[in-house]
Amino acid sequence: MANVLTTCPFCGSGCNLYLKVENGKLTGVLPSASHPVSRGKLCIRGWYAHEFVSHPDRLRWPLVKKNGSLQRASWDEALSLIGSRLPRGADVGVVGSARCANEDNYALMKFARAVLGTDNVDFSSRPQRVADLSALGSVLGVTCATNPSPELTGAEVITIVGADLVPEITMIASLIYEALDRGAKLVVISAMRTQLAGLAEVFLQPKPGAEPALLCGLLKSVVDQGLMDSSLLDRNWDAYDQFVTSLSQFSLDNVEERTGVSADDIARAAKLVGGARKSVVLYSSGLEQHPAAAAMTTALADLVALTNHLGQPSMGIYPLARQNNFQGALDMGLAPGLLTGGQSLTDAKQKFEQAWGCRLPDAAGEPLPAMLSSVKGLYVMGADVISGAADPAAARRSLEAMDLLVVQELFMTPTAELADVVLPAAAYAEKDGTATCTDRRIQLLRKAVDPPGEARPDWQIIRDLAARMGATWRFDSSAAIMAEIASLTPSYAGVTYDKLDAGWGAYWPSDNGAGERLHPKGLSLQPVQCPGAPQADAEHPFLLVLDPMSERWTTDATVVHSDMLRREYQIGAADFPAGYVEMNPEDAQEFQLRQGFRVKLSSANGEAQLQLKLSPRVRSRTLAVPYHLREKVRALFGGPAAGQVEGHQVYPPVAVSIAAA
Amino acid sequence: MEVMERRPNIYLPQIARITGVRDETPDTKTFVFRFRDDETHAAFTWRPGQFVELSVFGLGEAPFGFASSPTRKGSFEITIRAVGALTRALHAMGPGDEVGIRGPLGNSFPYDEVQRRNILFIAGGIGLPPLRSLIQNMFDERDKFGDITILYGARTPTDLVYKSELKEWEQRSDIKFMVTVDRSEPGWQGNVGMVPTLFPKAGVKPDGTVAYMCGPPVMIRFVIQDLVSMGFADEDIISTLERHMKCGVGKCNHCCIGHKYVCRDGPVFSYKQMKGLLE
Amino acid sequence: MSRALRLEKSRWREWVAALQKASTVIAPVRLHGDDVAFERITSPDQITLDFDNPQDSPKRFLFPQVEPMLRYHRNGGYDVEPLYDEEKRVLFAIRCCDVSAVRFFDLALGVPDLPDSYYATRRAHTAFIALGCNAPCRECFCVCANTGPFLPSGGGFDVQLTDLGDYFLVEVDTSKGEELIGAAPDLFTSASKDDLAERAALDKAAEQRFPRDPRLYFSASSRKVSVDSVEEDLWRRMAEWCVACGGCTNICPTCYCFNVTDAQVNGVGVRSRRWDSCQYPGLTREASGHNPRPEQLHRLKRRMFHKISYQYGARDGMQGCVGCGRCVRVCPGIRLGIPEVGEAIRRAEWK
Repeated sequence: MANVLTTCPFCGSGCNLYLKVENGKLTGVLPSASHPVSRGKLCIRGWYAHEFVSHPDRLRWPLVKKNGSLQRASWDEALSLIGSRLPRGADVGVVGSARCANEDNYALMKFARAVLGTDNVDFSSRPQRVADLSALGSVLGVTCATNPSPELTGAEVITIVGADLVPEITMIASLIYEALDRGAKLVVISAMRTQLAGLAEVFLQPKPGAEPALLCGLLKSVVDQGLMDSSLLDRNWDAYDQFVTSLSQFSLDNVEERTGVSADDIARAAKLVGGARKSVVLYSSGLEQHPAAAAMTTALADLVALTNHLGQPSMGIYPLARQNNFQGALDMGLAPGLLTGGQSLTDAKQKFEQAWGCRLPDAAGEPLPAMLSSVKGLYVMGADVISGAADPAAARRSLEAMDLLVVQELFMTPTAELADVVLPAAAYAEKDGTATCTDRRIQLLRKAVDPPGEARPDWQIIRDLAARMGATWRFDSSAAIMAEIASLTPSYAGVTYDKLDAGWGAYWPSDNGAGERLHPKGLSLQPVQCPGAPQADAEHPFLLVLDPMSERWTTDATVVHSDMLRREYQIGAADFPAGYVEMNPEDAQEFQLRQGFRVKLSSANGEAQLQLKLSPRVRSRTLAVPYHLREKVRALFGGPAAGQVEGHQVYPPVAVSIAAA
Repeated sequence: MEVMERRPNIYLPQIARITGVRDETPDTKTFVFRFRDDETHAAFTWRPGQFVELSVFGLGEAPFGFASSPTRKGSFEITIRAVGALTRALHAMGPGDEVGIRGPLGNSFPYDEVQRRNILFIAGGIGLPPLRSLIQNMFDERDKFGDITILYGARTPTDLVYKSELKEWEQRSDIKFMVTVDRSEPGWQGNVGMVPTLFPKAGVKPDGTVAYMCGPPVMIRFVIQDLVSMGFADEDIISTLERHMKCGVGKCNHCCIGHKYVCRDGPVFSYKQMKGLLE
Repeated sequence: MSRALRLEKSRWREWVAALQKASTVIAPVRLHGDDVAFERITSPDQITLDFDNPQDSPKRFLFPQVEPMLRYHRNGGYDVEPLYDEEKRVLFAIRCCDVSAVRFFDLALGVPDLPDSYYATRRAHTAFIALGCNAPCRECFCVCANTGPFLPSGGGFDVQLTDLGDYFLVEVDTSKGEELIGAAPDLFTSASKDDLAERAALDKAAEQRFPRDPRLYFSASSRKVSVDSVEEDLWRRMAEWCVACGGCTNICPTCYCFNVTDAQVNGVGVRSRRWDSCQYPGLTREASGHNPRPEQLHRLKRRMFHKISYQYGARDGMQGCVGCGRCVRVCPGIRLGIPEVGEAIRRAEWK
């Protein structure tokens, strides 16, 4: 039995585990004990990280649509077809993956820009993060975690906003448990009562839509209690004045009415967060679909800047990534106008043109989802565009209308089913490569077994396709690709597989004098905003939200194709086959509704029917539907215009009534 | 540690063929089985209350109780409702098709120790099949037992299983048999009401009586309450417990209640034993 | 015990090389960083003896995480064929707690009236060379479970090694053990009475080195768990620290819940079993949706009951927990290893 060390393919924690290999097959998993994040532990996903790899439904050979159905074809036929029929320039789009390796994503974006001549490049988990990451950037000058995650264990106060870490990003939760065991205190701010909320010193559960107001209140209380960093007051900041002005328009007197949280509780939270030196803020998917994600993130970034919890161990802010290589996908430039390592197309165009020996597109292209309606051909790698879209029906219509859809995948996903060409890809355990987890640590993937059938690593497929289309890249290994990335990307400079292998990966920026910690120099407090929130009324006494934290892994292809994970993650679907809406048990009793009842939900826009699931984690007068069931309640929300943030569909809370159907 | 010999593999199914299928209700069928290998079939026997793990090759295994008596040896019968992938696949099979069988597994209904006593059967819906194994056995050795009373209820007349056999039972003069339905249907002349409504009509009394019951958990709970308040001793109330099962031989730990394994220490438990179980 | 021998420390790798001629040797190997796990070795040089206890227990080799059980295919009618693993193996340098875990498995899985044929086959083809502990590691508590730091004759090992400085004391306990010595008999000389006395002294000294920590002794909590006198609220508060990863049961050398599934592999049906866990809701969830252990608190309670109750101790003939300490290290919630939970139960207190 061989033990092959690799990085877990599921969430952004970045655990390392050993894949057990016997007779060329994966037979199990063992956590790495000395890895600074896993520390000998794994979540249920990690413990079964071997299962989906060997599922019988893995795609094994290329498929080409003939007479309306996908049929087995040779690589030659498939790649020739793509080469001849894939549009170029503005007519083509390329979608990469937050789950594939950095080398795969880099090869894909190079293919897009150098060969297809398009800057319509994106990855399907990015649209819902644009708002919060740019808000983070406008205050702190960075759009990533400021500190390494192992430091969480040394924090004194940990503030978790909009995240249900235990089921979603489990090893980060474990680092927090370790901090708690050492006496750290938790502040949890979340619309749903999460598991960690039960251990919080202060748990603030605002009304849906009132989160920005709550965070404004928190900031105001920090200022009122004099908990800002005094060195800030010494600086002569226009920005500070503007910030204070924007805050002064906000009063704590009516905060309870506005948010459902008392001024006292807010003051207690502020005292904890601002009063400790080693104070840390984390947020995650609770902000992903939130209409006010920008406002909330601005407030959180302002908070960290105001209290100067930056640049030292066990401080900082973490915009947590749910996917194993979300950070890496951003780092590889899978976004319009963006090249690797945060370099913009405009700034680095010349350098890349020189290195690649070709012209790059002049202007930034279209992002998702706009790209889907503007292009005629689409190349998708490792992304289920339909299931990941905020509006799956619209995404499906766009894909059906494509002249050519190419999908490179592990399994037949809903997106792959619509493809004209399907290419079988190797899974993480079947190739070498790197992935960058949520705290900027670049880590190795190591090949443990061969891919099934004729499946191949993504970067090899793209290299060969590019070769057919006239480009000659010297990518004879994934290490060679990393060498090219490192040569063009200051933050990845000096990264080699040997260096990554010597320890437990490496943080970027590799040229950072302060080590793994970022001490953002470009601090600029931004004015706070408090967008209005939908209100319930007598006719519609509940606010219904789509809960992005709930059962996030339920429909993921790698979970569905793993016996154990499917069994555990689909209990909700099995218990409530018609889909469910969560309601507080006390509310249910008051409205004479019981577990399992079929209920009718009505808003000013329309109706929906679901089964009722009683859940104490839901706030009074709130109803929650898991985000992955959004299509079942589509009619309740207004049309597309009602909730668009940066071109991406969001679903603001909507006032509804509920009754037995 | 001494070297362990390889004993018969407890996980290895024997091949059995379906020799007959009878429709009982729209979603329930009785399957008649015979082992493919004559020697295996000749050696095979069971006690009422026991079960088998039945393999539908390619899909998996599930536990099902014997529905026929070991005194009728030509075949064994199992009555199955289609509720999931495996049972639906089975329902699509017919005579000649093969399945895997491991068994007999589990414990059995008290039999020898209740000779000369009065026997009361209470069955609800799909709970009748495992009791039928015991009923047929007692019919075949009728003079070993005192009064036999059978009370059976289903949701509707359509949901009654063994419809033609029930008619035979109605004709027998050596037992008392009563059937009821929760909801009537056109043409139904018999009792309407839940099974406990039959108790006074049937003259149920605890004296010298052992009660065997099988049915939906809700029904069992109420029936046990009624019998206890009537004066039945805890050890004279016999039922079966169900848990999600996998291996059926007390190894995989799916079906444990405390340190008892439903597949080994059960599925038959007296009410007295049930009370002693720690979840 | 049949006899006691000596083996020069400088020569133990030669013995391993000799063993490799007839068996696959599985021994602790240093992986990345400070990680140590059992691995099939090709050369004795791969072996490290510098460890507390390998992260992975020998359970992997006797009861794997994924194990094919039988194969069936249609050949007119169906043919069913069991799949056995008959590789000859020597597990080298396993700790006494882990040896005791094997003894537990013999009782729970190998039990004569219903032997698990797959376990029994692997077990019959495996020999165990134990390495006693001169000092405990931080998390272990074999003194409570009576499974170490050294084992007496009959403890389950074929050979037990004691590190006496320049040489190993080699206690040969079984005929299988004699075969292992017979692979390179010239490497061994007789042990002296002093050697045996030193071994006894080391055993005592090792026991003394366990900290005087009530968390290491769970007998009081065994009683409470057995009579179900633990307040539900205590279970609930402890369960708030559980992330339902199943790590405790996966890493535990005596846990053996498993799930069975059928799959088609190249036109042939294969039934396999894989590790399952009482910490997962799906283990007990019934087709109707009813779950007799609906919340994590019920599942935590179940785990403790199976590991340390008198009822299970009586049923299996031995207590389920061998005090290896792996559950302490593997728990993402940090606190739900057996010692801390046991102590919370004893004191009826959880902060």
